[in-house]
Amino acid sequence: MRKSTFKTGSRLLLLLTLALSVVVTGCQAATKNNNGVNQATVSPSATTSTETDAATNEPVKDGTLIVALSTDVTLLDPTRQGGWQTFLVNRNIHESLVKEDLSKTSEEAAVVEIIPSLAETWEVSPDGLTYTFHLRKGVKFQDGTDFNADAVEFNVRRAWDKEFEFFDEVSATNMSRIYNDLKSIQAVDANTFSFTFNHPFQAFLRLLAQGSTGSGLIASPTAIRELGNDKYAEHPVGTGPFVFVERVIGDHVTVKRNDNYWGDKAYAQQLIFRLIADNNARATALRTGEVDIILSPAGETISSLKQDGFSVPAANLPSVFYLTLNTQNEYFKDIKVRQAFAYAIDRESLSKDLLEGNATPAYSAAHTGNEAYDADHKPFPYDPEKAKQLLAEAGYPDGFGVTIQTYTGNEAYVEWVQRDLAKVGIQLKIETFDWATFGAQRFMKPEVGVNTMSWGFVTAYWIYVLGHSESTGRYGGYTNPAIDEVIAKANNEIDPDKALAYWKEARDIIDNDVAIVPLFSSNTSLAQGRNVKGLIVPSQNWFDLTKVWTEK
Amino acid sequence: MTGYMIKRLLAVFPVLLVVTFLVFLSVHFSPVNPVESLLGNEASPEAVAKLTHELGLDKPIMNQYASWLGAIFSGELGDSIIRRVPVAPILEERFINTLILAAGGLVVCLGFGITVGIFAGLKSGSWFDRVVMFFVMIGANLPTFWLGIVLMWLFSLKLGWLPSSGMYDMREGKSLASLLQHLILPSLAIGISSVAIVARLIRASVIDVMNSDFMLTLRSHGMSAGRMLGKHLLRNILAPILTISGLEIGYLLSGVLFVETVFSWPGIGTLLYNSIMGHDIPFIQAGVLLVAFTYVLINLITDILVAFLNPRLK
Repeated sequence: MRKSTFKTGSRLLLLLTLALSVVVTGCQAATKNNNGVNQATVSPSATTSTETDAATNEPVKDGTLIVALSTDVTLLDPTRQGGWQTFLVNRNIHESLVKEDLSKTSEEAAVVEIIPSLAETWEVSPDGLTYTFHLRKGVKFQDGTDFNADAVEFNVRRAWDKEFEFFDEVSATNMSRIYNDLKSIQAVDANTFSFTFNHPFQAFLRLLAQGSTGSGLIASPTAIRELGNDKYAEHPVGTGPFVFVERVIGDHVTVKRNDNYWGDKAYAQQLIFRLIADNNARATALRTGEVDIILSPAGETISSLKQDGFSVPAANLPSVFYLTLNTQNEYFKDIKVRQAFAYAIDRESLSKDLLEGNATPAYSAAHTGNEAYDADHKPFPYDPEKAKQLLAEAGYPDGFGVTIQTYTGNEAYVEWVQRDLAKVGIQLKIETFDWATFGAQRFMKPEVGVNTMSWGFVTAYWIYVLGHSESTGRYGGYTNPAIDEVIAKANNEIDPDKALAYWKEARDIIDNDVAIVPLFSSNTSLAQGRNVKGLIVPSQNWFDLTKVWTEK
Repeated sequence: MTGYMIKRLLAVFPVLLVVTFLVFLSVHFSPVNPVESLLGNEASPEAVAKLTHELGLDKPIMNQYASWLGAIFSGELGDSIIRRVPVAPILEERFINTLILAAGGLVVCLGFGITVGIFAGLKSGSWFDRVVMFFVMIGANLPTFWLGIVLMWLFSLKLGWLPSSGMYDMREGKSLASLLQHLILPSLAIGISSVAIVARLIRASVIDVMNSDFMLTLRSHGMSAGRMLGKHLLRNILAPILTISGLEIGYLLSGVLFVETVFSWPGIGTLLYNSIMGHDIPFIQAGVLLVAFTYVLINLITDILVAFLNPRLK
């Protein structure tokens, strides 16, 4: 009896094993045949050999390009949007009056240039107050609406004019950095539009072209009229090279090529922006070929991706990881303590050893990729002895203890800083939060001494964000009337060279005051698959996807 | 039986009410102000006050809870604060995706668990029993999250057999074949840890049944092992199978939330993760409530079914 049962069991077990083998091998064949996703992994050398084949190096049009984002898209509404990855998506659907030339690498252009987009030309009045744009003729939004001065007016009034029927509080708040000093606007004629400010505003063009909280990208007035302010983001319509197809919140955004686009048509027939929040999963999806480009490759994955032949292009990205010193804190009220703090950190080693050379040490508020950046400007190089001396002069020969607040993802470099500071007697107590919680309390209470941030602009106006007493970007409450004065001069100066000189003066004030302690600028924002061609990484936190294609 | 069912049903309501209150409170006392996270740091106090009023966040807590509960009961889950879209349709789609993954996990855990359990039970004490139970015990102690990463490394990266993330191949579009391919690894990741629990329970039941007087009698009368297995054994272990299935569905639903993040599966888990990061309160509240309600409902159904199948409970 028992023998018979065993036989039945064995047979069933054998059948089960066979069935599983069939399923697994079947899947293997199906995967390779159906999507070919794994071919690059299975045979990397095969892909390398095709790269040398000139015949296959022609742009392959009509392909699908998949970009993996690390954070979800906020809103596909230009004036409500926030964050760089959202802007990367949004700028394919919408365009602004001017745009950045993203066709040059960091070596070719250390600072990206402003070039025409929906405005063919523009001029600034001699007093620097009025910007007049001559709009491109014959451009249509993707819903057939004409692009003209009325469309520009609609978009500006939506985010600025409280009396306007489609005025939107969220847009107004997000766009306040651009429009807060705007005095008046005028649709001069169908193809001419002007902005007049209360004071000269040098950074205006740059801010129109870029993404931050809100952007100067222009939406179809017809779409906003039909959908209303709240629903537009789910059905965006612009003039850009790609047309919105669908968004599955928390998963992906799909856009297809705009065949009626006024400019050069995009190579890819379709772009898909997929959210893969997990760092390892994102790198794995690139390795298996499920996605073509990944954003924000995590430090620990960069080296192995490079070793395996994936390209992780480096560039002077205009952002900086920095510590804000709380000038309301009892220790950091003293400038000597702040300067000691800045001397105590070995940024060269941090960038080289901890970040494996994927970062540039930062010594100034004007970081790499910023107009006011100067590679030789290093006011506080690593000098622990000098730090100890300054601490002693400030009355803390044995150092002191203070709290630093940060958010998840920064643990490695914050602990590195903690170790460096301990060497001069400053004991850091680390408190780590998730990003959202941290964001809500980034204006520090007096008992908190330091916090972390990563941000930055191409324009020197970035110094205003960090240092001007009216800016809300000063998380440590730093103020200095001298910097306000110089920033006013910089803003009011019409000659760009003279303005830049003022900005550098303001930079020197904020650097010497150690309102922030710059640590490093990351050099990498993406990694690309072996079959991705034509991708250029400029000195900016986003890039152009219209000239990118995938080699089959 | 009817009395038991009514009692069991009535017990569910206070549980659900407590769940709704806890969900409401936990989000309400979050350190992040949703209005500030929507309008940004540079919003004027007037703008913050205006939007706070529009969203009803300036009312007393109990009033907010009451109106929120009233809306929930009338099927109105509200609009996302951040994205300004209705929560219900998105949640529904995501929940279906989560159920698909949980179903995949259930197939793995029940399929392997029941098969292994029956054979181990029939061959209790044998080398087969010992070896198999040793391996399923190892499986039970592997963290789901870690197992997911290992499976992805082996089957996606090294062997190149299966895709590592998402629900479909986005280049090819949606198809059943693509869904099944994408389902295998995450299902294994959540299912494997439960195999041991199911296998052990089934094994114990099988040993119990096989040693019972009536089975011994049937054996002595020379009934074949195949007939005994099909006609008597399986019927007698159905109740434990149902009980463990109910428990496992609940467990899998919570386990799925972690696995979704590893495999970028577009279910409730990833939605909740993103909503929590973005402090999108209506999404968090509705998502957590949905999971909690499902959990309670599955337990209720399991209890009633088991009672129905077990005459002693009647």
